[in-house]
Amino acid sequence: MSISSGSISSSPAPVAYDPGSGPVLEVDDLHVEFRTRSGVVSAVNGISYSVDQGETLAILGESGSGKSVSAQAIMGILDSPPAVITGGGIRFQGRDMLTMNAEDQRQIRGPGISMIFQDALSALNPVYSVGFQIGEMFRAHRGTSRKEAKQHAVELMDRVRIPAAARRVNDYPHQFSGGMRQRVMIAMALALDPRILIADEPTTALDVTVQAQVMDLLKDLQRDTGMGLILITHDLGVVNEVADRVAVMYAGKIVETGTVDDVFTRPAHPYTLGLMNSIPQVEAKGGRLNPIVGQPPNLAAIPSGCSFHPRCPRARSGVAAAPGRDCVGDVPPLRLVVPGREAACHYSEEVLGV
Amino acid sequence: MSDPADIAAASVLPEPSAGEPLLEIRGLKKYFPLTQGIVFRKTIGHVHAVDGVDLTLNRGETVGMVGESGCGKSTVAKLLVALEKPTGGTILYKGQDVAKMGGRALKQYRREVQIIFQDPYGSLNPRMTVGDIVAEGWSVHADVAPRKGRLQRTQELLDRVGLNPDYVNRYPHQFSGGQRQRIGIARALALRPEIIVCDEPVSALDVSVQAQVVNLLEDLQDELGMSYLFIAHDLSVVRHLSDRIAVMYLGSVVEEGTEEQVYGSPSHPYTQALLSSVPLHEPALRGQKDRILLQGDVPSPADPPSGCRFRTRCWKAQDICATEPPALIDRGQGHPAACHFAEAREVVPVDVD
Amino acid sequence: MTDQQQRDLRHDEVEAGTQTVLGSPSIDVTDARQNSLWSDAWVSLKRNPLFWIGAFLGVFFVLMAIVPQLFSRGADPRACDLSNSKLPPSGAHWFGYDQQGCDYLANVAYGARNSLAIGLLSVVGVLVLGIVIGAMAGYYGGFLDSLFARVTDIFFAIPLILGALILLRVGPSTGLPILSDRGVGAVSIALAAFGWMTAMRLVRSQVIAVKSSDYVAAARAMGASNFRILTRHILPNAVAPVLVYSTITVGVLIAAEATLTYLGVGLQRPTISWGLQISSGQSLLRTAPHLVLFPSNILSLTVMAFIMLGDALRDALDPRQRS
Repeated sequence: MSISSGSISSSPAPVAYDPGSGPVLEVDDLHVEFRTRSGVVSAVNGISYSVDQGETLAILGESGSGKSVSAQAIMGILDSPPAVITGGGIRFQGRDMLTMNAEDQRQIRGPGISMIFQDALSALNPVYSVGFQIGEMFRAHRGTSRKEAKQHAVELMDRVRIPAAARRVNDYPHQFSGGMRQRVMIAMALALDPRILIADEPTTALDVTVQAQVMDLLKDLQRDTGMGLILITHDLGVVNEVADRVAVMYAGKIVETGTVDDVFTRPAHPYTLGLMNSIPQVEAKGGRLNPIVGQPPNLAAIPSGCSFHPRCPRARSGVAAAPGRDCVGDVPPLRLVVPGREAACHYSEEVLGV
Repeated sequence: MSDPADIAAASVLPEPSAGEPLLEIRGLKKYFPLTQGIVFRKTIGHVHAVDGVDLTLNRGETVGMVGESGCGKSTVAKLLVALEKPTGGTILYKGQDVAKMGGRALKQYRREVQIIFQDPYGSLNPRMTVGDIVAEGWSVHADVAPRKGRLQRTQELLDRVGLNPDYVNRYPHQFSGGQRQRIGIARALALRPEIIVCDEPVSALDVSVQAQVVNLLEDLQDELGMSYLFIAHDLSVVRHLSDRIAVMYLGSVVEEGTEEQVYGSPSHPYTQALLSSVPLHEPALRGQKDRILLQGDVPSPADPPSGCRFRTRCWKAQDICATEPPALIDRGQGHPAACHFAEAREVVPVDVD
Repeated sequence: MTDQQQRDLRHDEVEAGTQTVLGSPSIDVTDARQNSLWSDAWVSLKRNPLFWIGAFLGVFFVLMAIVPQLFSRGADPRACDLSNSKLPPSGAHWFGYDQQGCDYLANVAYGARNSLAIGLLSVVGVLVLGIVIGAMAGYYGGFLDSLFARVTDIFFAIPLILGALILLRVGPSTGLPILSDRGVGAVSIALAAFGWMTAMRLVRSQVIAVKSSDYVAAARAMGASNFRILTRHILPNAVAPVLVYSTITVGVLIAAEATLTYLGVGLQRPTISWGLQISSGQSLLRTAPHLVLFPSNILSLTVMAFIMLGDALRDALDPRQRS
């Protein structure tokens, strides 16, 4: 088998990017349920988003908002059962991944889309050296020989700025610090030059100084490779510093999307506004915080109408509500509020003050 | 304090005179032995978890302690609530050395210094009802609350921390993270402490819930006048709550001052790097702050660098840094920093409005 | 993070906020009484059908052990007539006759006492040894832990049957009160003495896991005594696996008694026990299968009863498993 770096062999459906064919990845009205013993939990209730080449989309949400579930659906790593995809589509370069066979899916996952996780320690196998694990990607997908795979691994470790890569390629995961492990994960994810990288809370387990290094690395790598990046996080600061566009999720739905600048400076959904108000600022002491009242909703019993209404200071129902815009009774659709901005609130205009 | 038991208890630990600090830590050290072997353990080294920390806590004050994982801040918390014995240094509470306290005095100390933990899942016994959890302290310190009416007092406490008082018979797993943290706060309050050590109390919570708990802590302090030692890695939360702040790196305090001094004119390179790494959530401020990207990782506390602990990652390091550990003193910046080349520098942009 | 915590975390991820729609409002009614783990466990036990089946079977066999004459349909287990040898079951004699021509139903009924006594006594011994040694090793750690761990390893190296066999062999020559007569007591002691190690390991590992949890730290910081920490915090969270294990062990130990009997060191005739019946029936399996069938089925039912009780108990003692 003759392999040179970057060549694709023995792959029946080579993944080549065709510019000009629209978004690389589209998620369309995706529904995911968890069918548990204690009832059906609707984790994702019809979310749609798309990612272009070279673009960073942040999916912002708190625990239980379903932000990671859609990514797991894309990667085909949902625990199923209990998880079931009950509707919608996931299109990679125009081809629906949910309807294609397992082998075709495998060809996309890795060379097309790859993912990094929050907990790098548990995502790496403790009994294999990191070099072997990075090389595994080449061996599995391209049939590269052991020796060459290791060479590629060293190159990749250099690329993710692991110092003394050639020396450390035979080390085991526990010999690396948290930040370095996350780099190893990134190296593995980048091995096959994916068009889309999904980063699920990539820096949550890291200290701020290391977080800054890793986010910096991700940004640089994205600039070099032109891949699309889906950043799943709960950290508004990270979103602001890294992402181009943001989709805010609440109770399994996207409640607001737009560019980070727009959404963060002038939120159109009361939930986003609440989030912005509830974080203390490092640049000023400020007065009392304004938290969102109440607790995040139970996904097994999502409130009727707008799922945020029990916690929303602007919620109105009955006579106070405009016809068809009752927060308790009518589900607000995700609609265009101002050009380039979508929000799922009956009263977004008021929130925006337009 | 009309309760006779209270007066008797109070006599064990005298009230400090006005102006005297409630708690004083001097040169606190904690080394954990590194051992090898199963039956016959032999010590092959020490982890210098805390290595010479000085700190003062006054009545009604909040002192923030920030640092990254492994800097020893949680060990300081454990030392303060006497879960660990210090290897060296002293903790003076109301003028008395905690290490020399015995029997009644130590029990009294344990009542007056309480702790709130980071992990809302692990800090409550899953097999106890919320009522039992909150009231447990009274079984140990029976003098705080008479047996009769404990249920009512438990309910009052739950109500005070924002939980439905009717939930006394529920179990921790029936609550969300934020609610569990409130239960932990109620448990600490039950003993009417003078000091609450908050060990990353909001780090595990969602942003929207974090703010609720931060507000609750502030309100409780206004109402009850206790002191907080607030430990966190989240610089913005620490700034929000604290009067004074100590920045820790690898077992020792590298900079200390009022929140304004530390955030406004950080003088230690580590503080500057730390502040510069915090992602700001306002688009208008993006790219306005100094970018200081540190190289590498925190060295192992089992084998800390000689001289200045930070020198291996510091861009200012010179020969002197490897030989002479810098003292935590004011070098003209208005507040102490442990750096030979301390220099005030504005890292975080001033608010635009 | 322990597995349980991770499961909890996951539970919260998926079912965040379940607390808002908690099913049973009755527990929130406060009648100046505070629920405890045990009273809540009882309430939940009462709702568990598994518990009722197990309890019914358990009571049935315990009753059989106490008053076997109620179950023997008037037959005397020792009134034998060799002419009836190995007769199969009939309407008058449901379980047939054994080799000596004794009524088998009466024999099985009268065998319950010794078998159950051995099973229960030895399991109590296993539990006491396992929990005490395991809790001390896990809680105090250090030298004590190393010592106990090595002792456990040594015992682990001795097979249960072999150890019990040797102990029972040398028993009579020691002149010790219970050990010297090969009765129920001696067999139970022998089985417990060589069967406690798994229980100890289970308790030890659980105690170590629980010991480092924050709620134990919280209790200690509060000034709670070691006794209080062990009994209120550590043991309730550490004994569940060992309880389940012990219910299964009851059956294993009853079977072990049968083996010891077969080897000639267990209970001696004319004592009646299921173990004796199964071991003597084995050689006649071809000609009179009912001699093995009935005592072994009854034994299985007994073991099942205990397993069901253990399962129900574990669920009841874990608030996270309830509704």
